[in-house]
Amino acid sequence: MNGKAAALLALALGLLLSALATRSGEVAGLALPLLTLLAAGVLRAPVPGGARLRARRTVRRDGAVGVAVAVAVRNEGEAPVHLRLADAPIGVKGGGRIRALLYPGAEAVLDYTLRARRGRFAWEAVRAVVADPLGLVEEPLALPAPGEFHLQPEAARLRPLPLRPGRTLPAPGSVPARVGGSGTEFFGVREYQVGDALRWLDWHSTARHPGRLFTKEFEQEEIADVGLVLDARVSADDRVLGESLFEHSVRATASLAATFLRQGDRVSLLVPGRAEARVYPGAGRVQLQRILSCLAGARARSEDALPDPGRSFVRLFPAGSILFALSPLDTDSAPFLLRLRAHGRRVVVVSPDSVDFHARAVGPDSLSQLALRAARVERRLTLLSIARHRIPVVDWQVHRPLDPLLRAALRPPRGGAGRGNAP
Amino acid sequence: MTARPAAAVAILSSQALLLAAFAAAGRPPGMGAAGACAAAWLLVLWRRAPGATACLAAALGLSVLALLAGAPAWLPAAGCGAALVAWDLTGFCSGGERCPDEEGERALLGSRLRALALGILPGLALALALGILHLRLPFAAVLLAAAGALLALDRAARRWGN
Repeated sequence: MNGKAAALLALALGLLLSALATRSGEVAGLALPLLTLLAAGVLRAPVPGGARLRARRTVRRDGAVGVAVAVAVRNEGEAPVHLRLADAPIGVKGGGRIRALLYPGAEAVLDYTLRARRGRFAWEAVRAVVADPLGLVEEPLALPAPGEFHLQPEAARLRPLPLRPGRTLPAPGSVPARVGGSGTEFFGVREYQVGDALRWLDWHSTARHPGRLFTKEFEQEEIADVGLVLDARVSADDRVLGESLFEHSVRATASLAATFLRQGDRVSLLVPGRAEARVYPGAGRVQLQRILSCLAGARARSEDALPDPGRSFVRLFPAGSILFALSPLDTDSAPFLLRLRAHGRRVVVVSPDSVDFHARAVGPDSLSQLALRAARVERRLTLLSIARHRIPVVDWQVHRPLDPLLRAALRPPRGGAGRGNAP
Repeated sequence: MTARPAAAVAILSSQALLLAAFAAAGRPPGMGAAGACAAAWLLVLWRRAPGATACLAAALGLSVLALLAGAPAWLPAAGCGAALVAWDLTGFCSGGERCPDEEGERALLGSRLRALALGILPGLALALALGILHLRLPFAAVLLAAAGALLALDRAARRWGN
């Protein structure tokens, strides 16, 4: 019996008590419609376990809005069913609710949209309530309809980024390997060896050294190990005017992963913290899916400092790789970044500018402006303290495109360090 | 007709019957109370606010008062039946769930109205018949029968719940 039936019963009892108090049979008669209504509900109550319902779930991405969920419930029994359905992902408020009168063989579809930019959603069962036509006697059911969906962050298409890691991997790629061989960029000139293509003979050097032949060499282009580190501390999750700085970091990480994987590089990901998430090095589209799925579930956690990554870190970021750490940075970030730089790794910090992000919400009064200036000075000092360790920092105002800043930070110094020399 | 207009019609009908009952009994304050109850109930329906059960309780109380004031018995009884329909339809409208399509909503409303008619009309007929026939049952017997019916219903519902 539900609250509605209890209310009806209480009112009927109230009428009977009134009848008793007033010693009126006509007043007692007023309780009769209430009692017959209750009786009708009880008589037409669903047989416990008698409803044969089957649920089927489909989940898909709904453009930029979020996730579209549809749950179809079919009546496989032989009697009509008065049904209420409610569905929501585990741990998420909202979802959808419908009611329906399902005749045998008929189907009701509960569809709703979860508004989200990214996230991991899981479902187990649809909550159903089978009731009599008046809704007085109910039988709750859980119809199994498991499902899982990773709403991956959007990866913007960045222009190719020139990498100069400490080490490259012997596979054709786009990273200059500082080794002569087949490639597109001029690397140097060396003495001709049997088997060299005649069309690459360097006639100028050959003319200067009579009796000897010289050939041009090109720089081999290989792939690199690229590591991405996403700072997921709660301090990285500033929220201003309904916008999250952490979401910008997540999208930038996704964009970098997509760009490097498109270039053919091996990419790995670390989201440090108590709920640490790792994606070990890999290449190709499958790896991109792994990384985006991992980023879909990334949440900012309440932690003060970036944790020590430990020894197993070497497998995640091989020696000589280049790492991109996405963090708004604070004064405690330096030890973690220095630890990343071990084993000949190169570290580039992409730091979303939290002060600029907040500036939009700061009032025009002099006190607020003074506070903003102080915050800018503090951030400048933090960036300088990181840069003092010879770690390049990209100061990124999140509403500006990231790739020009990254290209500038990654550009090799003038003079072409590491290039081969002509004889 | 969708559920809300049907509920509004049921509210107005029930309160109009009560108003007529008080008018027949010559009690203007009762007529005012029925009007106020109608207005409050329509507000509850309009704003999908909780309070439909309180409105039903008020309507039942007014029915009892009309009877005691000497109104013809069929008017408060009919008002009570209409109030029950209004209460159920108000709850039907204020629930968070909606049917996925209009046709389904109409089918559901039709089924609900049929179930209401089947549930209320026998009780109403019985109440009116008792009023018209003036059966000479001892009051204690009537009370015992009603209490027995309540108990049976409660037990049946509990057994169903378990």
